[in-house]
Amino acid sequence: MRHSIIFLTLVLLSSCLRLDDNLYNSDNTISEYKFDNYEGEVDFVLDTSYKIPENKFLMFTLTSDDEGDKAEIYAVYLGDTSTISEDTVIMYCHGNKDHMDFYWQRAKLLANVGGNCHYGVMMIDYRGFGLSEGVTTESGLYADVNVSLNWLKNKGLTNDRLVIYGFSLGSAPATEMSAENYSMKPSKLILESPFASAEVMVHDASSLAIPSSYFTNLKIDNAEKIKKVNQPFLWIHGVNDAFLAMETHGEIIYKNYNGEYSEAVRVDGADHGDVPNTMGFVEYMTVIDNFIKK
Amino acid sequence: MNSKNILILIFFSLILGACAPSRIVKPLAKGEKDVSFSLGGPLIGFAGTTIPIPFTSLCGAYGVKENLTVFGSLHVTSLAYGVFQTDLGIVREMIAQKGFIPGISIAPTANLMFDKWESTFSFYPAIDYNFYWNYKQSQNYFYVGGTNWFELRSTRAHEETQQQHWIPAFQIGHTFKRPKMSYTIEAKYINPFVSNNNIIVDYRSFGDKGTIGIYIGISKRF
Repeated sequence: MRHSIIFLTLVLLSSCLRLDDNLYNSDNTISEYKFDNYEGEVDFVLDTSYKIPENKFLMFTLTSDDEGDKAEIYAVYLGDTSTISEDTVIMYCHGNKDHMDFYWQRAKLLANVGGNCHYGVMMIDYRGFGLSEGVTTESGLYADVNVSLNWLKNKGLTNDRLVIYGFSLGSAPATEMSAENYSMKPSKLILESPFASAEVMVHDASSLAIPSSYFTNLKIDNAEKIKKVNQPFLWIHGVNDAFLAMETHGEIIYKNYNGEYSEAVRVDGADHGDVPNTMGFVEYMTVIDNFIKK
Repeated sequence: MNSKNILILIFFSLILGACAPSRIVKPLAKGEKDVSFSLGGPLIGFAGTTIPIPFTSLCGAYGVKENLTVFGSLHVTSLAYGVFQTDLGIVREMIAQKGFIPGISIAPTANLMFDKWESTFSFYPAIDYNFYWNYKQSQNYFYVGGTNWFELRSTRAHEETQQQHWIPAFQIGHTFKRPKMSYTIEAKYINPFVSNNNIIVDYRSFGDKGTIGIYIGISKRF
């Protein structure tokens, strides 16, 4: 009896602290997006030749519904929205840092693949990022990207012209949209510096094969989810990624892919956030363009 | 995911062998009881500075014989995250100190963990050894030693082979012993043969291997 009381006391004492929310390193304190005028930290800055014409830039909001948890999220479209029914569009799923201003240069770079605004590029701030309402959750990420795909679909985009691109944290919704049934099924998947799973993060950090449930309830598991992806897949990863090691994260995802076509670009000398500039912007854009055209 | 400053928090309790100092370095007297509280952990880069991870644990010990003490501990920080973590062990004095020749103790320990989220159980055997010197006729002592954790699982995430099965650490510490209270400070060099590069946690160390841990402890004897 005494032991039972002690055990129950311990269970009651154990609280519900989880480390899940710390995965999302968002900044929702801004009052407006600055894009080209943003002066905060970014991974690289493009010169004026990559500028997006004013008439090919649209910022708008979408209402995202995550099983009743509704949030107004911010989105940008780089390209001509009137020709989405004819264009190929890259849905860019950004990483976990700050908000769209931080990733603006990356979105612009993609909008210059194959020529200025040759492909349309859509980017959103997930709920809890930037000006987007709500609290970031794993299911919220998927709901937010899904509502974006639905917007593109309503503009006339078809699956065969949709390419989805996930960087770092964005690899989770990108892989999820490619593997499961949502508003649209991308025809191609590009992952840059993806993470395999929370479990790998735990194991890398501890050197032990300890269960990830001790620290997080996150179920994101790109290494497993990629097994359900059949679309052509391009994986890009910095060899010197000091944050999500190429060997334990990217290589596992690449190895687990069983689809029709895959291509790996291991970038010598690149860390987590500098793959495009280490490759060189022209080379980076060429790799992306060639993959999309395959 | 560019910022380590926030994400390191995700895995701040990950080097479990580093979440506490040496429990009992020198066995208690027969029949003596000891309750201790410890704070500290591996050094990490956080918000532009270096801090020790604030692990906390409680430990109780009992002197079974003059050279044999049993102990058990509860990891309070883990408990806050829904993980019941304890280590149960014995400390045996193998050689008593003779002048400058140190006393030597060995502590085999069973580290047990169980989470309330997915009911996952883990067992990590470990063995500590310490060399200790009482000095200047006082009960204060200085010690150096090692901690060795063993990973018994053969596979890690996604059925990859678990490469590392021995996780060593080396410690150096000092205990100020008063009539009823003791105060300990300890530094550990954890996992010193493994690179600390290319992982999500920004461990601080002498170079690119392992991490340094800093701990303080306070105990009361009965």
